[in-house]
Amino acid sequence: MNSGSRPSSLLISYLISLLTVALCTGVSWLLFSHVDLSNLIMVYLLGIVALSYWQGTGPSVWGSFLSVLAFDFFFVPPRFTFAVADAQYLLMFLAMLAVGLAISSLAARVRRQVEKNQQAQVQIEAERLRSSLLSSISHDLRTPLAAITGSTSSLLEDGEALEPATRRDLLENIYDESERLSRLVTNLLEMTKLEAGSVPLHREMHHMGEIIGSAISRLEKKIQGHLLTTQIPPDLPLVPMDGLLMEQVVINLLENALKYAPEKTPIHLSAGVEGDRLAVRVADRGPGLPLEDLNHLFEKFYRGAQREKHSGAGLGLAICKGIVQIHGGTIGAKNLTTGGAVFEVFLPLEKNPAKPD
Amino acid sequence: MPENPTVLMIEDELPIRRFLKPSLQSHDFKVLEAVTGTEGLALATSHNPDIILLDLGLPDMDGLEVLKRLREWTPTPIIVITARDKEKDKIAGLDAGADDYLTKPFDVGELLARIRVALRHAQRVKQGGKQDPVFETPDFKVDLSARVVTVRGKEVHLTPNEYDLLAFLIRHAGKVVTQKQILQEVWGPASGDQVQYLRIYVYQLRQKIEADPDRPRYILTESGVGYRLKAD
Repeated sequence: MNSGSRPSSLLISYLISLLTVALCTGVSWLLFSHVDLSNLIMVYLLGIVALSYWQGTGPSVWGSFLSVLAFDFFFVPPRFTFAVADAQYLLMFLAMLAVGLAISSLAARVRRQVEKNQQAQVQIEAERLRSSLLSSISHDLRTPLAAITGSTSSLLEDGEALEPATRRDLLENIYDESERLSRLVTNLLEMTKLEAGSVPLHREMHHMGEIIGSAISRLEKKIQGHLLTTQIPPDLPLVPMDGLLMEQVVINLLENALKYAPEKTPIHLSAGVEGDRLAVRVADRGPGLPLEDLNHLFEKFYRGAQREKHSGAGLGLAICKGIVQIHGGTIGAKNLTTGGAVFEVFLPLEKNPAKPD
Repeated sequence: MPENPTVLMIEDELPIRRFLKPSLQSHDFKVLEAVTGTEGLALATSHNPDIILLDLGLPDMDGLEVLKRLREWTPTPIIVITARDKEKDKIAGLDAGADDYLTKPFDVGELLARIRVALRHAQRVKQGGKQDPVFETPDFKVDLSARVVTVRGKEVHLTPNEYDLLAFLIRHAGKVVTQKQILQEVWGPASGDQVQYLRIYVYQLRQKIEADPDRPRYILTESGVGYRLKAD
């Protein structure tokens, strides 16, 4: 709404009032010989309604006063003077002014109400989001805990009576769920730190190939069963980055690909220089990204249309984005025409040290 | 390696001691427990354990302080236990003389592997640092006396820097080494800021030795800390 905070827009608003009143005067002039004087007031009031709707309270109040003056000058006898032939015209002026001011104030009230409604709407939305996030996190934390509690209590209760294979299975379940919980806690902490801006960046010159290799070896167990290929030119220049954080980015992207790409399908990691940027890509031959997810992929807690099938709080990609951004880089995702999806990270290059030896 | 090595566990958290002690005992270790740094120092002095597990997050004193005091008089291998995200602690611990580190939460299997490596290394040092002249893995072999490196049957030429780096890693096989340690021992004390060159050398070494340099099997990066040559 036009609050006229800038001097130039203020001036323009008041000029528009002047013009509106002039327009009303023109229309009234045309109607003058055909209608009663009191009907001309309606024309001016319409003008004031328009002003309060489109320009705001100040200009419409100003317009109310101008309208009375114009009406007096141009139409009330004696015409073309500010004098009045009959005192009852003063009542007319008063009424006109009163109505004009009332319209302005009513319009102002309506505007305020609309603003309040919008704010309330935003707050309701935020509240809804927060409670759904909390229930989502709560669920993601409780599920592995339930599995752990259940499996361990089962072992404690019936340990002796269970088959060794069953006992082993329960123990593995406990182990797997603990790992999941650990990952979730790490992600939540990481996300919280990133949001609070309290992630210190320890920039050093790193070879992206080494970071990718490190990430791969951390996920070695999960990679079994997939065809992982890499394409990293050996003469890739060193790039300034926080090695640990970027490793986290690669790990998250790789974990994502492993989650969605079916077993036995290829996953390809590549890195290379493109112009003044270092590009890192993780591509898979999975089902690809649904169109409705594309714009929300990197949002916190977003889990996409496949949310039922896959666990995880939806933080991995948001963390990637946070880390890449504090490096001054960009991250994106798109579908491949050959099927599957590719996630791309771009980091700015900087002059690298001359290679020794 | 002593028959039943004694391990001194300086750990204040009961839930951790609760699984560590039985696991260690089931692997024929004698276990001494200390719940504070002060108690740990006292037990170390009185019992002279074969290996010490030191949690850096102790209630009464700084774990690093305990480490430094121990290192003033004993070369006993020390493995520090730290929380995640505390890379600085790990590096500080290793530079202050710890032999290796573990991050909570950790696998007992991992702990035992590192204990074994540390004990083997300590044994070798006690015997005068004598090393097998030949270091062998399924993929590559290094004859340290002849300075010959064979990778999957074929002899490979390494530059002097690459060879020195590899020899250093072999001398500390199985143990983690910080970048600072590598730089100081291989290139001398003036090389503090050459970390990026170190990375390049490691990368070049991997290109020559690893079957898949992008997925190294032997020359492993310990993110944020340093490197480890996996010997098994």
